[in-house]
Formats: sequence, structure tokens, C-alpha cells
Amino acid sequence: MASHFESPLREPLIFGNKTYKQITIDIVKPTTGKVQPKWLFWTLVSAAFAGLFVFCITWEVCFGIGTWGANKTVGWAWDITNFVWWIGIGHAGTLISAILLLFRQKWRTGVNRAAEAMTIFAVICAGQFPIFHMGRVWDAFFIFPYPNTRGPLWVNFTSPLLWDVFAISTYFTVSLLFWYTGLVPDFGTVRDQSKTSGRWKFYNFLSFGWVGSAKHWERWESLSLILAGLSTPLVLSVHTIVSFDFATSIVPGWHTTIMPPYFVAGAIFSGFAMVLTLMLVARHVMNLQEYITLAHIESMNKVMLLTGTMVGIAYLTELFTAWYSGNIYESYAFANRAFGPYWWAYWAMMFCNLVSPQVFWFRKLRRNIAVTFVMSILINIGMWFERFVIIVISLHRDYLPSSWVYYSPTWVEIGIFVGTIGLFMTLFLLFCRFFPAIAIAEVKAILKVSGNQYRQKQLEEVKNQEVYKNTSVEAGTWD
Amino acid sequence: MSNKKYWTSLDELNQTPLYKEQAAKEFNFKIDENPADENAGTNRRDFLKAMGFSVSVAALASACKISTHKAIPFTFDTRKAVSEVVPGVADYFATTFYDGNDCINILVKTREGRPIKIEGNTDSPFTLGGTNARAQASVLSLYDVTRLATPTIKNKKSDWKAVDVEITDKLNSIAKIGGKIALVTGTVSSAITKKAIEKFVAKYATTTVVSYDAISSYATRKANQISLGSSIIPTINYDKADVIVGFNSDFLGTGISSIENTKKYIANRIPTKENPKMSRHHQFQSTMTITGASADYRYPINPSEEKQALINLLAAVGGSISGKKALSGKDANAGIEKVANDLKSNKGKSIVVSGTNDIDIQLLTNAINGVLGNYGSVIDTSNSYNLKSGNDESLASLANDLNAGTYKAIIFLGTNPVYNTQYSEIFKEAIKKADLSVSTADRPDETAQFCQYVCPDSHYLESWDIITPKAGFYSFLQPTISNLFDTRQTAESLMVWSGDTSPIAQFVQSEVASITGGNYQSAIQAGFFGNILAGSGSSANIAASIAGVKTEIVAAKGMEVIFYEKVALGDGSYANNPFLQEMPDPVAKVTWDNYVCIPYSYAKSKGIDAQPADKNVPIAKVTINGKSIELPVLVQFGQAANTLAIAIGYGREKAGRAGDMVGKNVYPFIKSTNGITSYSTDGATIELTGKMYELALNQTYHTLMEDNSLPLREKKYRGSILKETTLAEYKKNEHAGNEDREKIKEEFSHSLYDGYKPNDYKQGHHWGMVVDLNACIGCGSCVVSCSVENNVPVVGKRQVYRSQEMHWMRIDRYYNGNPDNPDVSFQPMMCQHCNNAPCENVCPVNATNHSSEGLNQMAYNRCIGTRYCANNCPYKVRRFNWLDYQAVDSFGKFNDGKRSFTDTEAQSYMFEDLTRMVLNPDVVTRSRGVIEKCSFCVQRIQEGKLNAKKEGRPLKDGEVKSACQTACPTNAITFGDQNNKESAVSKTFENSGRNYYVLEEQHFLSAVGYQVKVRNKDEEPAEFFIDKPGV
Repeated sequence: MASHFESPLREPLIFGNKTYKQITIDIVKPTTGKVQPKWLFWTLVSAAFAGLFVFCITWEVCFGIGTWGANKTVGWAWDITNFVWWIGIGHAGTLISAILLLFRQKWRTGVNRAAEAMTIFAVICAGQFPIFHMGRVWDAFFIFPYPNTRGPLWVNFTSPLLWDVFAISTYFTVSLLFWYTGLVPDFGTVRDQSKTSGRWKFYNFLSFGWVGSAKHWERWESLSLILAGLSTPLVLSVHTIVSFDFATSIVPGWHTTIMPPYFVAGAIFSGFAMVLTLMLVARHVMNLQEYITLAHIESMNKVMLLTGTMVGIAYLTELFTAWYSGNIYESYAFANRAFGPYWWAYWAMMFCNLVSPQVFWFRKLRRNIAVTFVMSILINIGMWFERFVIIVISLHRDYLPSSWVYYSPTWVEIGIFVGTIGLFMTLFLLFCRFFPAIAIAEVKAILKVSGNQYRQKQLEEVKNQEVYKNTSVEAGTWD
Repeated sequence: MSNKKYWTSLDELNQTPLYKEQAAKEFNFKIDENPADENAGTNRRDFLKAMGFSVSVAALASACKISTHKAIPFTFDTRKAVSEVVPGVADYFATTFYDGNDCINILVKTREGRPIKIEGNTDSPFTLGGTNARAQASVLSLYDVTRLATPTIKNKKSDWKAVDVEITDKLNSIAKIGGKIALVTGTVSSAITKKAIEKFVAKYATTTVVSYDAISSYATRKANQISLGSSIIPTINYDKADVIVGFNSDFLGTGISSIENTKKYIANRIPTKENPKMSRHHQFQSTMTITGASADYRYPINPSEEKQALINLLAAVGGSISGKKALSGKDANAGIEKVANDLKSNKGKSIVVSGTNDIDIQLLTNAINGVLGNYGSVIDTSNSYNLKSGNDESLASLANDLNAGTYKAIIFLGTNPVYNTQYSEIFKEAIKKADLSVSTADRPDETAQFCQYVCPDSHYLESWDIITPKAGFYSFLQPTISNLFDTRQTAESLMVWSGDTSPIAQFVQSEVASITGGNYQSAIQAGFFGNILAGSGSSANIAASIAGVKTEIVAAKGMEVIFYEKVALGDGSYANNPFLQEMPDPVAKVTWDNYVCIPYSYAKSKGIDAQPADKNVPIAKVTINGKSIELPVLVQFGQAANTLAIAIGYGREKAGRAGDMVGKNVYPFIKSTNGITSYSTDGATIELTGKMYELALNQTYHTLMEDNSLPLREKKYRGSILKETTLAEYKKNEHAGNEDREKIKEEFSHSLYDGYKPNDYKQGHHWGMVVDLNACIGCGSCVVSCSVENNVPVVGKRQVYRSQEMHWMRIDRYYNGNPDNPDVSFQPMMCQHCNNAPCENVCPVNATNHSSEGLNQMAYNRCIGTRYCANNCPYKVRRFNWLDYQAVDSFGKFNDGKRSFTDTEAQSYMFEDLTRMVLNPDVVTRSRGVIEKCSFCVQRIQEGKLNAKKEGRPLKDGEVKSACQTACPTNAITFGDQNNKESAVSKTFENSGRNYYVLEEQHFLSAVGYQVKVRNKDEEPAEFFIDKPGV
């Protein structure tokens, strides 16, 4: 993969004159040694929030959905908002690992492991909502088409919720396999670095006894490609199907054909924002600046600019369609989004998702870590509001004005949402501690091309060539 | 498998006559419910089934404690000639709902001995089968756990013997020294109670009987004393009036004998193609009531100007009176002229009626009606009411005397003056000072709690009685269940204390026999005796009426306040009935609270949001003559400028778990002027406290016109939801207001999918419903009836605030026109049973689907509660069991049922075993977490079909009636089979130009047709906008 020619003017993706051995040491280091107090503190804080999640879910299951603010008119509120939000976040991982792999984007190697982990954890968080938003969660298994003695009583294949079940379970399974496959050789590396027999056994088990033979590598490469091929359509299909929950309904504001592309773009948008939020922190805390470089950050910011603008165009198209349709319910739904009781949610969405990413037209700002971090948070908020706007604002005023209501969340709903963030962070922090957070084998594979010292050598070799004479780029000016 | 039959004896093989005879005898009792298949024998499968069942039952029985002593065995001896209780089959008893204001002939449905539902008695010539919400809900009051289970002495449990001995001793000793005894009653229309009181007075000669009504019509009687020479309240035949003019009269909602009047009113309000005629109803009023909402023209007036308005009207129709002066409201001035013209051209066919408890005002209406010659035609003075016969003046003088300490003994016959009069403190003190204080309230209420003895009255469904709402008409009460507690009817208590210990049943029976000339059985079975004969009676003495009027008008100071009665809660005696607390006020759409209604103009000037989307309203401090009260504010469109309105009947302290501390009590603000209780006052000020209040509203958007806070957009009117027209237009075109239907039908006659044929349900039955918007007065009787029939839970104030109410049917209320004086429309809304139902295809587990009879049905056991169907229902009629309302599911321990209705996450009035007795056994209770909705009363459909099948005949139209249909006092709802071409429903669907379907253009193919509302107006009203504060 790493053997093709690359312009020596390209920015290196690995800094610090790394050798293969140094890469191994750097990336395995966080998984060994003493527990850092900082890590322990944040893990405990996250676990406390995860505990809040458990508490609020228990409360809800014991007393009922009536502990939420959802009501006769707004049947779905924070629950499905959070579900779509988390599912969307997961999409970046799949995009990076599958589509960018197929497109041979080398910069993905620095972030794909963590992004895939994020996908898994985000889907775990997302999965809580469709389950626990059910009135009778103890009968949740009714949703699976299993043989039974009630006729047999079959599920309803016309319901988009059922499609969701298939889409999300497939997505989770494939993502998990893909992620784990990537981890196998790295588990072998971690095993080889281990100093105790218990640790050796543990990682040996996780690596399925990886020995790094050519045959292993060959099979591993093939499996990765197959799974990448399988995951690629999932990037598009999962959120398309999630959007069908809305698009196939009759609720004004839901019933639009623009939903699938709009949802997919939004999902990638929010996913990259979340990857950036996490990676900027992890890079700083785990001293991975030499592996997650400004080049990585800039690439992801470009993706966000693209998808953010796509989402923005979708927003504007929706407004146009609503007006052009002449349908009074449809046009009201959109007027109400912008100027009704929830105007603040709509404009928060518009600002965060459409306006704010436009700063990334400027290279300086794309490569500014503080700006990127703030933007990633804003986009996360904006994309949450997008789902809130679609779900709650469309529902709260539909056909019959007599049933129009205003929805406000209760502490239980807020607790569940905040709790899933805690759950997510707990899982991610555990991942950072016990698993290699960067794909060692894949980073090594690009070292000889994208490592800074090799790039420098390349530059020196070509310096006198006619083609490069007029370039102003000097070795060592990447920053 | 072989079908061989083995014989057990040669006789059997040869089928000898002896064998046949014996075999026939073996199981010879007939059970007509289960006609046995002669040829069926027990085969192996049946044996195994039976075996399996008995083994599992045995296992269960040995493992669990089964309280069999509570069950009615299915092996009831049906060989008896008269079966008393057949399990599974309902018995109906005719009896009477009576509360001093209304007397309604009803049928009580009992199952396995338990009363579970009230139905109107359609045979009654008096109420014609109509009921109101209070009557519908009253069955739940029977199972009220707050009721006293025994008599009490000083709030300690006692027994009747001890209580009777002590009371009689005290009465005797008081009577001996000539001490005065006060007997405080409400309106007594009961022949039995009257006799008992007579006996009591005969025994204790120092007794003074004081009867009062918390909401009094005393002035009407007093005025009629002057105008007619007798203090009566005459019958008004609204059906004979072509012009009806109401002045603050809520004759459709809370007025005297409202069901009777509603029936008459509506008889002349439904125009048809053949006879496009309806009465014209003008209403002058200060706040908005359902009567005002039904009016064609409505004019807001201040209470202080009502007299002036009547003087002006009297002068305008030709009465000789001076003192004509312009009113402050422009609309009202123009209205007087318009009304006078209408009245003059309908002499003898019109009525002017006022509900204000003021002698001058009543005299003026009498004079106007006299001038118009309405006596004898519309007003029937020969048929007068025994209802509402309280005497304000004697209440006032009693209060005076009590203050002076004149009375040694005071007995309250179910009355609660500490709560519902302005003399609260006087009564409290007097009770404490008295040598003997007795209350016959059924609970330790505000008055009874201070009394030495509480002798609880039985519930009316446990009682015998004879009510005479009008002379010559007898309405009977019979027990539908034996006393649940150790209670005793008040009349019986009085008789015992008078020394007559014969059982009341015997007494009533002999009375009934003497009234009916010995036809005791048939009279009790019918529930009433006698007929309402149309009489005429005398006319009012116009000159005397006018002479009695003091024409000087005192101008009002400050803001004026109206104290009004709510359709559900009345004077507050129904406060502990959760069905009535949760029934939204028909106009304001508020549950579980009273509040101060402010006019829109005032709200606008103060920047108060007229329709707060989040149900958070400001709290205002209202000060009336130095006393103040803090109440949430509700902007009432149509409320007269410079007036406030507050409902009485709230703020009970001792009503029970549901009723305590709901709202605020404003009885202390009510004043008497010259001994007449006045339900309005002036000199009020209002100021906002800056605090906010969570009001349990169940409708937050009030119009079909979209919000004008949305810029960049033409405002649209959602005309396909509620269609209206005027009578003039309707006369020209029977499709008036409904013109777009043809276009919609034409559009849907084309399809993209050639050859696709949706199921049109042309085989068997196809159920449908017609709702006549012209007939609906919004009273809410159907809402309560539906809840009782279908075990629809009450959710409490907090859940309603969160919009988590459960009502299967609701009445949407929309305003149209000028917000200072809008038109009001009501629209009953329930599951539309769409043939193209959006809810059905989105359920992931197929829990909701369509029956072959066109019913959209719910399989509760299959539902997992994703609520997708509720989101996708355009009519928003699907309801979700947010909490464990019925105390039925496995997490019941989180629902201890002990918390109050106003806060709490988990509470349920159904937690109590006693209350659960009201549940309809034909309708399953739903567990937490499942969706439910209107089923078109599928249990009634099933019952009707089975009855027809047993009798081997087709189902007749009208045989199956939904619960909302039977409860409706105006027959606004008709249910039936669309496939039966002769049914009322299909005839309306086919022939009525007024028929339309809500959101028909969306092609949901609903099965509920609505009839365009026709107003008897000259022109269409203007568009209605509610300005946002600051706009």
C-alpha cells in the first residue's frame, strides 16, 4: 500500500525521526506502566456519569416513560434525537476505515483506530435509546423476526423501525469485526512488549496467537479489504435507513425525499467533529503529536467543511421545497421551525452547522488547534440540535392545532443523555489505556514514505531537479 | 385417527328408549348461553386439554394464594326461572341522578352486582336519554375511598345505635327547654326527604328548616312572585323559540335542568336540506361559557351593565320604561338593536332569559317576555321546577341568628356551608358552640369535620328515593348495589330521630305504590312516573314587573369579577371525582384548577402571552374589597373588557385525595345584597406577582389560523379540519362551506398505480360514525362516558401539564373571528379508523392493524411502546400509558398509590381495590408502556353482533351505540354500519351536503364523517389572530 510514489512536497504524516522500534515504544507506552492520576480521575468522572445513565434508565424502567417530558403529541423527543446523534457520530469511524482505505488516503492511519473505536462506542450509546424508549422494554425481543408459537406472529416488514433494527445490528457487527481485525497484529506487538506472563497471555489471546508470518499478513490484508468493502455501503445505508424513520412517515417536516443524502452528510459531519474533539484531547494527553499531526487535523477539517456545507444546502433546499410545494402543513412546519416557539433551536443549528464551519475556508484556521477544537464542539452541538429540530419541532405542531404542545425534557431525559456521554467516555478511556490507540502496523507501513526524516531525504535528493527549482518549500518548514 | 364411538352398554348400542331418557336426564339443565353440540364427545385432545388445565390449575392453586371467596362462581344455577346475576351479562336498573340542579333519568349498568356505567334513560319524557358529565362520572363517586364507612362521634368511628341514642337524647333535651334547632338543607326535591323533614319538625317543634343553594336562583323565584304571583321557576320551551336571547345564562351547561333544556334547544338548531331552519341565539355575557359558545351572536357586557342592557332592550321592544342609556361596549349597543329587531319580528316565538341572581334583572326579563307575548308559548308557567329552591334570605338570617347564638342544635343535611357559603366563619363558630351538631355528609368535609356527629348518607346508587323535579313527574331512585359501607340515607336518619324506625325501602315502596296507583313494579322498572304535559299558564304582569325594578344604575368601580360555575365541578361537591377534575373545561381547556380569566385586551396591554405554548402562565394577585387571592391567569377570549372571572367549586380542603387543595376557594368573596347572593362584584384590582404557574391545560393553541408571529409567509387557515358556513349560505347551497370536497374526490379518483385496489371493506360490516358539529355544544359528557366505559385512566395534574393525558376522545375547541369576541367551535375528536391508516404500517411489531370490519385495532399484548404510531397519527388520538395508571403491571410496587394527584411520578387512583370495582370487565386494563386509543367501543359491537347471531337475525341499525353516542345530550354522534344502506350513518354519508372528513385531502380515508357547522349569522366572521406580546 505504501509503495507508490508520493510527491516529496507533501507534508510528512509522522514527525520526530521515528524508527519502527520507536513507533512501537511510543504507541504501546500508554498501555503499560503506572496508571496516570489524570487518566484515573477522568475515568472515574466518566464512570460516575455512566452510573447516572444506569440510575436514570433504572428510574425510567421502574416508573415508566411518563418520567420523561415526551407526550401525546411529541412521542419521540430527546430519546430519538440522541439515538440519531450517536449513530451519526459513529459514521466517521466507518468512513475513515472503509472509504478512505479504499481511496488510499494515507493520513487515515493516524486516526483510524480511535475513530473506529469511537464508532463502536457511539453505536453502543445509540443502541440504548431505541431499546429504552420502548414502553415495554422487557418485550423488546418482539422486534426480532424469530419463530414463535403465536401463529407464528411475524414482525411488520413495512415499518422503518424494523429496518433500523437490521441496519444497526449489521452496522455494529461489521464495525466491530473491522475494528478487531485491525487490532490483531497490534495486539501481537503489545504482547511482544509485555514484561509479565499474565499480560503476555492476555494480549496473546486477544491477538489470536499472531506471529507476523507472511501468510498472516497476507490474510490479514485480504480480510481488511473485504471488510472495508462490506463497510463502504454501510456508511451510506445506515443513516439512509435511519432517515427513513422520518421520510416514510406523514409528519410534515419528516416526509421529504431529501432525507437520506442529508442524513448521511450530516452523520459524517458530526462524526468528524467528534473524532476531532477526542483526538485533540488524546493527542495532547497521550503525547501523540508526532503521529496525529496538523496534516491530519487539516484533512478532517476539510471533510467537515465539505459535509457541513452539504448539510447547509440541504437545509436551504428544504425551505425552498416547503415553500414551493404549496402544501400548507409542510410550509408551516418549516416556518414554525424558524420562527415558532423553538426558533432558538433552529438558529442554533443553522449557526453551528452552516455558518460556523465556513471558517475552514482559511488554511490558517484549519491548522489552528484551538479553533478546530471549538468548532468540533460547536458542530457536535449543532448536529444535536439538527436532530432535535427535525424530531421535536416537526412533531410538536403537525396537522391539528388542538394537539399542538410544547415539549421540555425532564431530569430523567437529561440524565440519560449526559449519562451516555459518560458511558462513551468511560469506554474510550478504557480503550486508550488497554488497547493501542493508533494502528501501529499501519503507521509503520507509511513511515518510509511519510516519516519526516524520509521526506527530508527525498527533498534533498530532488532539490536540484528542474521541476522543484522554483518551489519555495524548504525541508523542515512544515508546522 | 378413528372416529369410532365405543358403547358402554347394550342399551346405548341399541339406543333403547329407556337409555335415551336416562341419558337426556343426565345433564338436563339448559344453559342458553352455550348451546351444546349434541354430537360432540370427549376425544383425546379434549381430554389432554382438560388434563393439562387441571394439572396446571392444581399447581397454581397449591403455589399461589387464590382468594376464591371474592369470586362469583360460573356454575351459577341457571335452572332458576329468574336468574339474578348471570356472570358476564349486564343488568340495567332505572334510577335517577339528582343534585338539586339537575334531575336526570338514568339506567345503571351493573356487572356481577357492581354498578359500572351510567346511561341515559331514553324512555324518559323529561331528559330523553341525555346525560351530563356529572352524571356520567357519578358512578366513580360510589367507590370513593374517602366516604365514611361508619357514623362517627367526634371524628371517631361509632355505630348507628350509639349515634342515634345520643342524638335523640340531645334533641329531646334541647326541645324540652325550647332550644332552637336548625336543619340546614340544600334544595329538597325528594318527596321522601320532605316527608322525613315534616316528621322531624312535627317531633321537634322548635326546628327551623333552612334550605340554600351554593349557586342560587333565588332571585328568579322572588321576581316571579312579583310578576306571576308565585315564586316559581317556569319551564322554558327553547324548542318553540326562534329567537333565544341569553343574558349571562348558562342554560346549556350549568343552568337549571340543563339536560332537559339542551334537548329542547338542539331540537331547533339542526338545519337539513329539506328544512333549512334553525333558531337564532344571541348571548350577552361577561365570560365565555358553552352557552355563549353555541350562540350565533355573542356580545360581551360587564355584569354591572346587564341591567342597563335589559332596560334598553325592554325600551327597544316597546316596553314603557325610562332610563335608557348607551352601554359602554359598541358591540353590545349595536347588539341590543339587532336583538330587538329579531325579537319584534318573532313575538310569541322568542325568549329572553337571564341567569343572574338579581331581582331587577329577572323582573326586566319577565317584562320583556311579557311584552313579546312569550308567556304561554315559550314560557310555560304551569310546569314549574322543584329544583333550585334554596332561599338566600333565610340563609342570611340563619347566619345572623347563628352569630347571635340562638341555635342550640344544628343539623346539616349533606350541606357544607363552611365551604360553600360566604358565612364560613359564622358556621364554624356556631358548630363549635352548639350543644348538638350533626352532619349527614358522606365524608368528613369542611363542615362535618367540626360536627359532633357525622351520620354518613348513602350514595345515590345505594338509595331509595322519589324526586319530583316538576309537579306531576316522579323520578325514582332504587339501589343498584347494597350499601358498600355502614351508611344510611339521610331521610332514614331523620325518621329514626323522629321516632319512626320503619325501613326506608318500605316507606318508599308504599309511597311509589300510592303515587302510581299500585303499579309499583313497572314504575320502578321504568324509573319514572307521570308525563311532562305541555301547559301554558299565565302571563307575567308587565306593569308590576316594571314597577318593581329600581332603575337607578350604580356605576361599577374598578374591575368587575364574575364568580361562575364550571360544567364539571359545579359548586364543588364533585371535587373528589377525578374524572370531573380531569375533564377539561369545555371552553378554557384547563383541568385540575381554577384561575382568573382575564380579557384579551387586558392581557395585551400587560404583555401577557394569550396562548403560552409551554403552559406556564403568570400568577396574579386579585384584590377584592381588601381581601386578596393569588391565582394563575388565563386569557379568556370573549371575556368582557374590564372584567375578571373566577370559578367557584375549587380549593376544597376536605374533599378527599383527588379534590383537596385543587385550585383556590373563592366563596369567601361572594357577597349578598339585600339578602340575595350576588355572583359578581366590582372594586377589584389585579396585579401580576411575577411568579409563574404550571397550568394543566390540555389545549395550548386555540385557532385554526396559523400564528402571525411567523414572518415571510402568508397566514393560512386550516379549513379542511373544521368547516363552517352561515345559514344564509346553506339555504342557497347545501354544500356551503364544503365546496372543496368535489375537487378532493375528483383528485383521488386518479391513481398512479393502475389496477391497485385498496380494501374497501364492502363485505360484512364497515363501522362508521357521524359527528354533527352543529349539534355539539362541547359539554364533555362524551369524554367522561368514554373514560368510564373504556377504563381510560385519570392521570393527574402533573401529567396533564406534561400533555400526557389519556382521554380516548377529546373535544377540540377553536376560536375564530375577533379575539375580543370570537366565534367558538367544538369538534369531538377520536380515532378516525382510517382505511388508509398511517399508524398501521409504521408499527414494527404489527400491534395495530385493520379488522375486516374497518376497525383500526390495537393488540395491547403485542405493543412494545415505540410510540411511532402516535407520531404518525395526523389526528393525534393515540394515547400512551406513560405510567402504571391502572396499577396492573409487574412493577406495581413503585406505584404505592399513596401520593397525591398533584405531584408524583407514579400514582394511580386505581390502586385501591374499592375504586377498581368501577372497571368495565369487558374492556381489558392496559399495562404501562402500551399505546391505546378509541376502539369504536368494540366490546359493544361484539355484544351486539353476538346478540343478533344468537337470535339468528342481521344486526339492526342503532342496536350498537358507542359510549360517546349514548352520553351525548344533543345526539351529535351517530354510530353505525356503512355497509347497511339503510343505516343512519350511510344515509348521512350518501345524502348530506354537510358531510366531510377531517383532512380528507390527505387521503387517510377516515371512517368518521363530520357535518359542517352552520351558524345563523348574516355574514362570515373576520379572521382570528392572536397577537404575541410586544407585537
